[in-house]
Amino acid sequence: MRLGVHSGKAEFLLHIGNRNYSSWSLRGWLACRLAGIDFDEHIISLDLAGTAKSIAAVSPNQRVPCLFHNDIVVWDSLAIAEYLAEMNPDVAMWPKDQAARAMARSMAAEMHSSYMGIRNRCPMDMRGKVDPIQMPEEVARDVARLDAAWSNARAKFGTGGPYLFGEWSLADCFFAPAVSRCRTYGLPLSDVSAAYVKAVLAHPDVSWWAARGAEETWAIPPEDASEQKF
Amino acid sequence: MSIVLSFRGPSSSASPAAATQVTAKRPGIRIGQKAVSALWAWKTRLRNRAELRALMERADDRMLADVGLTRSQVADEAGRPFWQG
Repeated sequence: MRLGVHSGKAEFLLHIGNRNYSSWSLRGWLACRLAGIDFDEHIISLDLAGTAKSIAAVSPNQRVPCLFHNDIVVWDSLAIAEYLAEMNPDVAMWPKDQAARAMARSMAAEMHSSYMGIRNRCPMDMRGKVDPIQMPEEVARDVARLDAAWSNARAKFGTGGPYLFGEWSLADCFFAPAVSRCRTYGLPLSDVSAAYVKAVLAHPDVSWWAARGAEETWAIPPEDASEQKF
Repeated sequence: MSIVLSFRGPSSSASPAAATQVTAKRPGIRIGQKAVSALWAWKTRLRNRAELRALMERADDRMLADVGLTRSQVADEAGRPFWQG
């Protein structure tokens, strides 16, 4: 089965996983929305047979998201973001100001490569809600770093709007899953970061995605999930 | 087994809520027309399935779901012999 074939009529085709759990899919999808491109979206659903095979059929690294642009394939959400930014120079996907852009790129790359405490111990579960108790040390460390990074960007470049660099940018797309985790796990944040979390959750694209995720019926069994929680 | 939604950019003035569902086609498998392509497919499958086995060992269920995979389906795919698609 060659799923890397356009089923709709759009120039771009984005393959994603389940909305509730796949944070990487959310980043890639938000980047496509921000770019303002026409794209078809194909969900490789976890509750149907052959997921691994379906993903392997379309994605070179066997993961979602994966973007097809005619015959060009781009995988990994950061590469997708940069490809779209390069293709759509008229859309300010990264901040226009050079210093702000440098910080935005650094923060997105850091989200991509770091924050392993949060990523491992607080997996994305957009519709979930966990009563906060004692955080493991690696989570507390990541939350402090996240809070500092968000507060710093807001203070230096956030005057033009409610997001990290004022207007909605790729930096916000990359932190959207972390924002969702802050809500799910009740992670403690400063007032500035808490306000940022609220703004991101209210963004039309994020809230649309979250609502669709809440409609998904497939769930990781509670006994597996409880092992993850703290 | 697939769902396709279409999203339109701002020029067509549609919001995500206006995404329309279209029917997904299921193009047939196009492998094995030549021996070379069959061998190449076997090689790719061997590599992919070894990678899936390695991923299963180091990722828990939620980390797998994050990249769109489930353990049982990964195990099923990873355990298939290379001559089976």
